[in-house]
Amino acid sequence: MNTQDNKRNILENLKKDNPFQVPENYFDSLGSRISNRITANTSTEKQQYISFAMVKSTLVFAGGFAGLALIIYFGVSIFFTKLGVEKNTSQNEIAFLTEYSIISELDESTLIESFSKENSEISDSLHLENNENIINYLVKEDIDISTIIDEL
Amino acid sequence: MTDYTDKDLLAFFRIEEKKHYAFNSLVGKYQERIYWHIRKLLINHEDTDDVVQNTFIKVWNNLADFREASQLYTWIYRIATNEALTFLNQKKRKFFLPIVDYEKELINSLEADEFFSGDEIQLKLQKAILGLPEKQRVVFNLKYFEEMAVILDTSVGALKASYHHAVKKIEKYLESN
Repeated sequence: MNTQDNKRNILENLKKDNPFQVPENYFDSLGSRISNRITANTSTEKQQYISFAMVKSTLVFAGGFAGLALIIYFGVSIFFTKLGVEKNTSQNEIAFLTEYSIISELDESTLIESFSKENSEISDSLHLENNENIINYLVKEDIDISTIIDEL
Repeated sequence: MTDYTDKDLLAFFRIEEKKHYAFNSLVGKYQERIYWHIRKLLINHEDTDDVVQNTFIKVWNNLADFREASQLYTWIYRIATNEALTFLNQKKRKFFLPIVDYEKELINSLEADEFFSGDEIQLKLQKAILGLPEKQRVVFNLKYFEEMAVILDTSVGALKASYHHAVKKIEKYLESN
């Protein structure tokens, strides 16, 4: 017999019976098991949808609240920061001035007053000095009061 | 359960009150054929059980959109084939095994499988079939066990060539063993 035919016969002569088996009553229960899985999947999908919707709304609310809190926080921070900088600045200036003894609790009016006082003291002293000189001159030159009046 | 035509079952499925009844009838009609088709690919009963259930769940989810471009049975058969091949690929990735080692694992499990009742020659044939590339295995199983149908998305000529190659390989394997 042809070798090729032999080879063909190997396969064709093999029993084409199914060598596999299934557990008893397997096909009787397969349909109900599949239906149960479909029902379970549908319930799970519904629950997941509801849970997702709840979580979503909670997240939106939480996000809004967090955003508002951040806005308030930064607003307050900026306000107090500005205030703090101004206060610090004036305090720094005073500390500098005090340290270098340039001004020590003096204001403009006090300065003017003291300056005026100083000037008046000086002019007073100058006035006195001039009077004496004049008197000495008058005595020396023998000039009487009527002469002075005539001159004025 | 009354034997309805595929057309009737589709029509019932689209009616909300009759949806479950139609689906159960569909499962009853095709479950065995689908099961054995998958079993020949996966060998193991437990794996086959998982894939059969996944197949029909997919049918449930997509039957409303079935456009009747092909026969209903062909459509279900194609889903089953894809599910089985996807399952095999996932198994290989899961265990980081190259294809040859995984096929070896299947052969080893076949010898110890309580649900395999074939004799020594049958065992050899199954081992030879397991040595084929997956799609070739599908084609061979269909033709050899006389269940050829339009399953794979390929031409008739390509299917015949694929079957021819599969037969050659199996003959060679049986001769050498």
